[in-house]
Amino acid sequence: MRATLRPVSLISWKWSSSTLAQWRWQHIVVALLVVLNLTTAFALVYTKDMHRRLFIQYQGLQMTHLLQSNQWSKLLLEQSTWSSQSRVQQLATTRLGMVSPNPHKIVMVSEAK
Amino acid sequence: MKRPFAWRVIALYIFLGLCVLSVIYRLFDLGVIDRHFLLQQSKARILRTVSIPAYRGMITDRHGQPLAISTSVKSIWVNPQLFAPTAKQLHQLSQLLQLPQSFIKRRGKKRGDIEFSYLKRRIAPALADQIKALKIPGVFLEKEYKRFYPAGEVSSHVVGFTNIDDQGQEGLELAYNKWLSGKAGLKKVLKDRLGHVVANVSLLKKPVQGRNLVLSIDQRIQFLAYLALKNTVNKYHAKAGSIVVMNPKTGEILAMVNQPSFNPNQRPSDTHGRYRNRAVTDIFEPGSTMKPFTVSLALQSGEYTQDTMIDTNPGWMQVGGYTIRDDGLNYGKINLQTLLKKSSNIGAAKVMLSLKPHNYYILLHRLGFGERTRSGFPGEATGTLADRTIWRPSVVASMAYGYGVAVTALQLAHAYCVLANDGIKVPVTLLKVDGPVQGQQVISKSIADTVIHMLESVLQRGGTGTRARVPGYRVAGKTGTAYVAGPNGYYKNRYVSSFVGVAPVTDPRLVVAVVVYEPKGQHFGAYVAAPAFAKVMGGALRLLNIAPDGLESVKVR
Repeated sequence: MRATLRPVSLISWKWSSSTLAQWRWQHIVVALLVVLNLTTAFALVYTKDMHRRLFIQYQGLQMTHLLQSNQWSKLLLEQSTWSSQSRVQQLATTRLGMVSPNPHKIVMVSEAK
Repeated sequence: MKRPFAWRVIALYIFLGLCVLSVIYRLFDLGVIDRHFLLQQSKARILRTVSIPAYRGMITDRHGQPLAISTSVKSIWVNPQLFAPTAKQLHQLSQLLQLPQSFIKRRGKKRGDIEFSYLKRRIAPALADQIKALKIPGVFLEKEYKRFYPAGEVSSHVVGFTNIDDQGQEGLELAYNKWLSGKAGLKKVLKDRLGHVVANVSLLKKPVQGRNLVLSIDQRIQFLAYLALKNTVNKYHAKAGSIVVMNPKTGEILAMVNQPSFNPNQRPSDTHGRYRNRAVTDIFEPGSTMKPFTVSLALQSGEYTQDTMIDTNPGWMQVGGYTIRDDGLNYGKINLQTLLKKSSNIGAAKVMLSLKPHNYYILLHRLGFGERTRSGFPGEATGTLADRTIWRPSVVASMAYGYGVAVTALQLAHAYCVLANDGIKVPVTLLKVDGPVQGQQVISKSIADTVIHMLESVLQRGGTGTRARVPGYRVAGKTGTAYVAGPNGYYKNRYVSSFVGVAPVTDPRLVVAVVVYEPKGQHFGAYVAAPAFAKVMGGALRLLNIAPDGLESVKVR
């Protein structure tokens, strides 16, 4: 048991023999690097997550756009069918009893001078 | 103290060291030496190539009224590997799709590796929802686009139609197919395990969206012309007919209708020549509607003026081996205006025989006869106009009153546009034009104006075109009644009746050409074509809010 631990104790023993000043400076640098590492790691995770979310939102909006432009073309078609010349003519003559006036029935009115 | 040699520990450490080294090596191997393998595995799982669809553009008239729209419809397809309906479901499916059960079973039968088989393409969305509600395993819905034509048979010849793969087959759908259809694009995306797109990787091919096409056609005038033509053709049991309405200043075609027509939404399988846009593809010998050009040539040559008299006594004349008649009437000594007013064949023949026929050929050629009109419509006919080395007098005489040349209705309308537009020829177009158009002076302004004024007399009392009058407007025009040629000469009872007119005379804004093929009963252009002209011209002038310039002829309060 002690045999396995011996290499480990050798290493830590070497480490603890450095001077106090050196130890503090190195400690700060290492700590800074660790903090930097963690920050960049979290930043990466954050941006990737944001990217995914925004992308999903973008896809959703694109889908909405597609559905709505589909709807628009359907409505346009419906409108043009309801308002087609032949239908309006037919309704005007049958249901409303309208007629195109005879040229003799048209009276021209000139502007008052 | 000497410890016993700890060879087991050392061995263990060496073994662990080797493991670590091998892992590091493998890492190095996969990460640097053989990157390809891992990349390939990752790509196989998440990288997909997806097409970006391009939708076919809309065709609209000049006011934005849709003439051809694509909307999404559903197509039903089965995966034969998964298709497993119950008997009841199969029955329901067959009922809804109006297809026999045997057909559905055949399509759904497992054969080889086939995973896709259409059941019915392009069905109504409501029906598709009903089929979806059945929840039959192996039956799926696919979104496809179908072309609809709200104008129906009124604009069917001009707009044309597409086939089942959304490619234009006829008309402007064919001519502008590239412009309308656009091109589908390709992009690489990353997909997660659920199939949702997670990220765009790269755009492989940029899509070109289908663009809209705005025509010069005014749907209101189109409908008006269609109705007038349909009534005329039915009334006289004619074989066919065409009407073309043009704006002489811009060369825009405001209406182009033909009979017989078809419904592009439900195309009948029998053709009977109904799919041809006759105004552009059918040629005919125009007859008397060519006389204004004979008169133009006469004035242009300098040998004739407005007062020059031509002797048409005794009402018939012999040219070559043929006799030319003025319908059994003797008009006596007439001037050019009376020649047009009464439509004298002898007068026209005498004029032409005194001039150089080659110059007439050049004039007609400059007016656009004998060549393709280049309006953008596919399959235009050129017509027949031949310059001969030896001009026989009978040929020369017959050309004077419209035989020996073959024209289309569009060419006729275009030539009258030149007369109406102060002698300037503007190119014909089926697309909406913004702004002024550059033209080419083909006839001098004074001659064009003189001829138009002469043509006004055709509609006045004593002229052949009195039925073409539009109350309140000054109208100029010419009637035409031509025999139809056959293999053994001209048929005695088959005619082409026509009328081409221009209004208002003070500032011509519209040219209308009416052609009726083989009417029965009445055959004179004055009876058959002129009333249709009056309806179309009157309606079009009113629709375009063109101020009346002939108010002396109507009661004014």
